[in-house]
Parts: sequence; structure tokens; C-alpha cells
Amino acid sequence: MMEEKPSGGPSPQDAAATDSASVVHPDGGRESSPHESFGPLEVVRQVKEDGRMLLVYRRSSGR
Amino acid sequence: MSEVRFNELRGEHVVYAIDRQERTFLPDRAECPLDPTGPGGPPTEIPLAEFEIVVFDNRFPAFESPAGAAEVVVYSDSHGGSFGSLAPARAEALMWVWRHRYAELGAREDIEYVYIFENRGVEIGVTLHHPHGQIYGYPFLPPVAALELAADARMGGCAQCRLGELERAEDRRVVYENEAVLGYVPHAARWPYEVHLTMSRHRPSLIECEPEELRLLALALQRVVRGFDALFERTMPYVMAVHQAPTGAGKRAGHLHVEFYPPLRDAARLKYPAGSERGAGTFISDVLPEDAALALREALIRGG
Repeated sequence: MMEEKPSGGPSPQDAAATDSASVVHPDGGRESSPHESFGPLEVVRQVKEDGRMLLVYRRSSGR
Repeated sequence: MSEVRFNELRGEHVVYAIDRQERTFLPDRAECPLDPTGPGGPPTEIPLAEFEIVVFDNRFPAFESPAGAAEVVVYSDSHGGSFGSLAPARAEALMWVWRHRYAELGAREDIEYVYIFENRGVEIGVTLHHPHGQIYGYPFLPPVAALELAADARMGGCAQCRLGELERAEDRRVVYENEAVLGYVPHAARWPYEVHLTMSRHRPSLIECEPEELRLLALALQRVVRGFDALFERTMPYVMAVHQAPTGAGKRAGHLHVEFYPPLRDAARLKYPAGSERGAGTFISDVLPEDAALALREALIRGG
């Protein structure tokens, strides 16, 4: 069972995992941040040309 | 930016997102915005030649920062298929994607409730056929989530845990069970073939699930969707609603479960929420939940 945040919401463990994925590269989506791990997934965060977020998920073991 | 108003008579929020009037509506196959961007082809929402699963901010959001979020989850770079036809490993990966989004959106101060859902079929109002779902981060607690918290209070504990125990004991409406998930037609289902999948152990959200439980949840979800398609030997439209604990301050009560609302009452006829349902708030159903469960148990076997 996870440890709860005093204010509610996701655990520090899960929040920390996503915090480290929050580096954005305003590069029109052509370049990306380093891969972030989340469970069995690799997560790459990009920013589209119009500024919207794009997250690309890939299983660490490949397709 | 959308506008949220409070309807005093109903005691509920109503969201006005007028830009959504212009959203893409049933485009031609060659113009699907959820396809990968092919070499030399027109750009789509996804500037990649191939991908497994992607999430992006909705171009036509009902909510957006700093007052919520609206995201699109694309299950596959293949235009055909459905959630039920995904490879099992892809469906399992999708559970982790949901978990990632619940964790990240739920940590935001402006989001009170993270709602993951899928609309399937034009009967439901789908505007894009490419396999995908959506995530809304509500800046307030929506009514259904509030009702579930009220059910917990009324039943003196976790309503999902108690209802699961009752369904398992009565064993008249159970349609599926594995080591982590129980599936049943609720005792008082509103929709003719409504199915709820609930975690057998108390799990407020995807975050508390063990990896094996996520795998088994994906397995259960796919079995139900394939069973729906086998029920009338046609693609079953549905709303798939993932209910988890609210994420606002101090609101950790809740129990992860997934509710399916398929609107068909037989192979060709829809159950329309009409006078009684809309005007009085009382559903009148043509199918007994026990009969629906019997049909669905057989359909799940056929669906594989």
C-alpha cells in the first residue's frame, strides 16, 4: 500500500516518478527529453509546435 | 478557455467549451488525426512515423491548465482494431499509461478528479474511429464521484468492497472473475448490459495496484469488450468509465473499478435515456440484470 500525501492525491513515490519527467523541450516535437522510466515503460516528453504536450510511451522491452 | 457554471437547480456544474463545436468530426480514413505522420504525408496530431502509445493535450479541450486538463490517449498507431483487439502486452502497458497520467494529473493543485474513459461507437457520439480514449482532469468533484463517496458513507465503508462481496456471494450476476478482478452486472444496472469490473482487493486507484493486478485488470477489460462484441455479433458501442479515488486534498476514499455502459438493448435497438431518465432521473430498463448476466457469461466465452 502506498504512503499517502497529507493533502491527498498520488503518493510521493509516484509523484516523484512523474516530476522527473517534467523537463520539456520546446523544439516543435522534433527533439525530445531523455527517456524517463515509469514501471515497465519508457516515457519521452515532447512539446508540439503549438505548445501542446505530447507523451510517447514505449515498453522498455521493445514492441 | 471553457467556462464552468453552477446549475443551482441540479446542484451540478455545467461546462461550456464552445471551441469544441469546431472539433474534427468523423474524418475520412486518410485524414485521421490520430494516425502516425507518414513520410511525405500530411502532419497528424502525432509527428512520429510509428508509435506504441501516445498521450497529448486535446486540441479542443473541455478543461485546460490552470483549471483542469483534457488529454487524448491513442492506444496504437494502427487505425483499425479496438481496445479488445490490442495485443495483451499493449493493453497491459496501457494500464501503466493510465497510472502515469493519474499520478501526474492527480498531483496538480488545480485538479480534483482524474477521469479516464473511452467512448466507442457513433451511437455514443464518437467523432474519431482510431482506437483511443480520453482523460479529463476536473477542477471540481463531478457528481458521479460524489455519489460514490456518498455510497461509502451510506454503506458504512467501501461500497465497492461491499458490493463485490454481495455479488460474489449471490453469484447470479457475475460474468467474469480472475485472481484480481471481479466483473458483474450490477443488481440495479441502469443500462441493459451494464458491467462493472472491480478490484477484488481494496485499491483506491491504479497507483496502489501491484503490477500483476494491472496485468489482470487489462485482461479482464479485454475479455469484457470482446464479450460485448460477441453478444450481438456486432461491434458494441459503449462508454468505459474508470473510477478512482478523487485526488483533491483529503479525498483519498474510493475504490478502483471500471464501469461499462453499452446502450444497445438488442442487436439493432438502442436504449434511449428519455422522459423518465432525463426528466425524472429514473432509469427504466427492458432487461433484467440476471438475464443480462447469463447472456454475457456465454458471450464472454464466445468472445475469448
